[in-house]
Amino acid sequence: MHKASGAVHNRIALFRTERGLTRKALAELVDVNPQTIGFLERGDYSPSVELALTFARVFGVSVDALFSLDPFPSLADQLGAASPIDSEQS
Amino acid sequence: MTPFAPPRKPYRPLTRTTVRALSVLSIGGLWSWFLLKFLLPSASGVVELMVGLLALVAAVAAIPLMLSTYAFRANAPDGQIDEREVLERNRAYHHTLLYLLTGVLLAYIAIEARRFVPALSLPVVSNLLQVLFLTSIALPTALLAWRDRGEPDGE
Repeated sequence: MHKASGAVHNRIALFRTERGLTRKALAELVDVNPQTIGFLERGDYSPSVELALTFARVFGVSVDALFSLDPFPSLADQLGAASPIDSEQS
Repeated sequence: MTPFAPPRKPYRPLTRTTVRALSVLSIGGLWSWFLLKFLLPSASGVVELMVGLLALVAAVAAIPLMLSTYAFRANAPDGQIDEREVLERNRAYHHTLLYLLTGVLLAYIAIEARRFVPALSLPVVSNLLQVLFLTSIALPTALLAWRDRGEPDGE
């Protein structure tokens, strides 16, 4: 049996900020208490499949893009990997 | 996921600190009443009155406690709180059940121990059961308030 460890990583804060949404506004869109958004963003709570799918629908992305069992790479790492200057130097 | 609905009347949005203080007054007051009544069985009139007042304070504090939004979250049907709140409520009730089972076990032990400890009279056991019953009503609300980390409702 998979033991619930609460280690589901997410990018909710990133997508929310990018869309210019407050926690309260996002909470209304996904139909949860605004406090729950804070718990999710801090990684203190792992959502159900239904709630994860609702977030994905609201942001218009796949569930994979929002949630992962492994930590997401930082934005700096991703930009560094994709930067053509870095590739030329190396 | 379940639909989220804000608490309706008569529930009042009391602060976490207020609800914590009310829970200490009500649950702590009841246990203090029981212990003082047990330890001072033949107290004089004034002391008896003070001990009685403790129970009154506990009862009065329980009213706003049970009308707070924490009480709403502790007693709301699944459809009116979200899935995280359902999880927290279930945890609070699980710990309340453990508290109640421990208390009932203590009461049984007290009933059996009456043969050897005359101070454990039937009224004492009856008071213990009363305290257990009343505190178990308020305990889920108190646990929710004490476990709340004070996350603001918006930004």
